[in-house]
Amino acid sequence: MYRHVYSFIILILAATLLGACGAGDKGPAETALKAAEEAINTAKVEAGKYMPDQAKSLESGLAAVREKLNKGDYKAVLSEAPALTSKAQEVASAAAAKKAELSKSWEGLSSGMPRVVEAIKSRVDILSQSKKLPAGMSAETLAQAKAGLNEITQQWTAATEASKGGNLMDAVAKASSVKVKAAEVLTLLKMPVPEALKS
Amino acid sequence: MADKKNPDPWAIPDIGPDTGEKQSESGADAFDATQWHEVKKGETLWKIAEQYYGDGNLYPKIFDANRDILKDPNRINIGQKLRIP
Repeated sequence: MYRHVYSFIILILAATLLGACGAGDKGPAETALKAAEEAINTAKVEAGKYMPDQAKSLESGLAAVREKLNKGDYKAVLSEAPALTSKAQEVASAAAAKKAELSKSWEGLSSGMPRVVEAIKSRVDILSQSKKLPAGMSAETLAQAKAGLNEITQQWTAATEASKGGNLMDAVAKASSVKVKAAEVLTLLKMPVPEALKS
Repeated sequence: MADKKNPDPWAIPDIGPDTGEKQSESGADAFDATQWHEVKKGETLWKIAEQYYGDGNLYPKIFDANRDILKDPNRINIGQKLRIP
């Protein structure tokens, strides 16, 4: 009989001790979660623009860890929140690198493409004044080149607007399509395609 | 002597030192879309305009684009590199 009573008391003590330990983890778990939140909020500023998928992944990770905190799973929070903080810092660095890369691309495109467009426009203007087109060029080809030039001009304006609006990703994407179209039009006009438009 | 509007189509390019030669594309930036034409024996601005534009009457376009090295549309030198606008 005493043996059962002792066992019961030991069980109660063990459960209390475990509970006390768990409650002791709450504060550190909250601190770890707060650190992760801060790191993610910092990373989101640029990651949202340049690495949207990674930013979403961080958000969903944070929501999952917060849920664990609410359920009292402090040990899981203590294990996962620091990993989330590290991940947020990695994403922030990667987003900064991506921004720098896009800025460099845009810088090159914005200084180079207007000259390409100007060369196309000049040739189209001159050919439009010609009474007879050069050998191997039909009126249809010139019409295609004119249409292409209109498209290029519109897309370039959109790219510039995107850049002014701070959307470098969109600006570079639009400028890249301008590059492709410009190479097509230059070929139609039998003009040399600059190296930058070949890649 | 032909006038500017109708340069002598038979004008033979001068043979001599090409002091006004333009830089070729080599070494130019990657976005340079300039088209160059190297003058060959027997060519005139008229013929060059005809080659690129289909219409020799448009030779002033080439002359204007190369005023830094051309003083007279009737005088072009073999080996000169002309910008074709």
